[in-house]
Amino acid sequence: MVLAVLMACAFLTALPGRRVAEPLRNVTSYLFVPPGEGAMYFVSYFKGRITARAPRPIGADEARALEAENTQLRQQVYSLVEQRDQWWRRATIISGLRKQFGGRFGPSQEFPYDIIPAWVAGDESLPYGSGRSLGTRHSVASRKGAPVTSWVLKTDRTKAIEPVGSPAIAVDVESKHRYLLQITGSVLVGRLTQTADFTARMQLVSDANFSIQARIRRLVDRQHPRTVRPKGSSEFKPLTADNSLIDVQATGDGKGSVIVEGIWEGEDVRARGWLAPGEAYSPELPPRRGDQLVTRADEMFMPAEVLVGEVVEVTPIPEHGGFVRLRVEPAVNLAALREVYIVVPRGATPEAAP
Amino acid sequence: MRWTLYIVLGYGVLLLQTTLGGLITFPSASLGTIGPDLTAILAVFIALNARTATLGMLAAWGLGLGLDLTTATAPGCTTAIGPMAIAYALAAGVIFHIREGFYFERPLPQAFLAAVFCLMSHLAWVTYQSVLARGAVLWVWYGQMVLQAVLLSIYTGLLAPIGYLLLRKVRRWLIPVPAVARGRRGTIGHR
Repeated sequence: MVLAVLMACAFLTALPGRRVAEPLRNVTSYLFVPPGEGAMYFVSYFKGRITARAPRPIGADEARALEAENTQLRQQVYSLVEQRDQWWRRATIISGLRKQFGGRFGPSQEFPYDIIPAWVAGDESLPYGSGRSLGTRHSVASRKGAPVTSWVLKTDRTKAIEPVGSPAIAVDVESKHRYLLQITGSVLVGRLTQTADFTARMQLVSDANFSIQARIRRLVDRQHPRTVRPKGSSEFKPLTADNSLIDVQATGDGKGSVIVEGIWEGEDVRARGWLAPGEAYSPELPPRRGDQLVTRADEMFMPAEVLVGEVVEVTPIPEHGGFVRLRVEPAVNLAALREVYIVVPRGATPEAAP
Repeated sequence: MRWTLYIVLGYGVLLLQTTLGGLITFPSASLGTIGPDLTAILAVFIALNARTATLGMLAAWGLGLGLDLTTATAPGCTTAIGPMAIAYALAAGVIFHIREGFYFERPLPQAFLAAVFCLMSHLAWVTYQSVLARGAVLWVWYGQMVLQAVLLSIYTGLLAPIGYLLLRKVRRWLIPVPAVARGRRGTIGHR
């Protein structure tokens, strides 16, 4: 009798689909998110170690060239810091004026969004989808659809310089200016699909249901300039920073990558490790970066150009002659995600958890 | 059956699956993500040792519901709550009724029965979710999920003897009253 009632209940909750599923999952997420935090820390650490890409070894000459470049960049940083301080002083004056005049004058906020830090507290039970449970100290209820970002270390050459065997360089870098050599950037990793007060569910960019209006940013390489021929045009044009973006629709493939379909081959999108015309592959060649998939700056949810990933494969579509399919590898290791940031409109961040 | 211990065990296994389970889950660019269903091992263990079919099915229903609650995404749509609970309960019923035909204290039958259990429940779940998505799931995706379900079943089957070995240590407390009928070939009850 009990079993029959329970089976009937399961049948009734299965019929309406997500309308019943979301509130029930939000309630039960409190059972799994807090105890899952520690375990996921271990998982992300371990997965990060075993799936990390090995850094490219560099020679002593290249290390010295980098050191010289770093010295130059250091000078530029000092100069920029001075400029920044000047701008801050001006901004303080302007801010005082705006307060004085009740905010009736002056420009509007450029990026009126807040960043809510969150952490990955659980994976999906079953491997058919790509989602994560998140825990956060701020309420994110009713923030469904909000983009979630993470950070990526774009360059950290200090780690590569260390083993070269030049103690002078290593000591100088380690002791004084290490922090100057680390540059981080934001990366889109997913969006919220279910939200509760202090927990949420995130759909990763690689999930088969994930879709986004984005852009391909072709990297301008002065040593290897390329010409592009947009669709419908018979004229080849040199690729510059002004015409480097292509509007695309990107979708997750459910297997850890993002797919962009139907790109005109005349756009000459390059994948990681591309070869210049007439160039033969050689292991001596330095690794070349592929073009990038970035978010659109005119997107409502996150009006900024944020990196999604790098093109790693360009394949022709046989049934649509002249068009290619791009496979984009996410810029961060999604298996080792730990800290993430939820982007919400400013002023919508409710109180923190006690 | 002691339901308090069952709830603690079920919760622990689900927590393990949603966290540390990531360590034994492998992404593949051609096959998708392949990981085991640890909850199924517990469900099969209970079905093999339960006193009656109803008890085994009830326990499996609860574990299936736990899976439903902790799985939100699948190709095509947000997943529903209930299909896995039903599929688990029915699969546990089948396992209960065929258990007498196996020497299920041995590793090979355990692996086989766990794989069969997973295959039945996961194929049913994948099919229901695809129907629920109403046209959003392409046949390619459905085929992909079926392949994932088959590989998941094999993987779970391979891990089942280890899980059974561990669970046998708590059998005395989890199922204090052994099955009414002894298995024709297997030994049901405590050693």
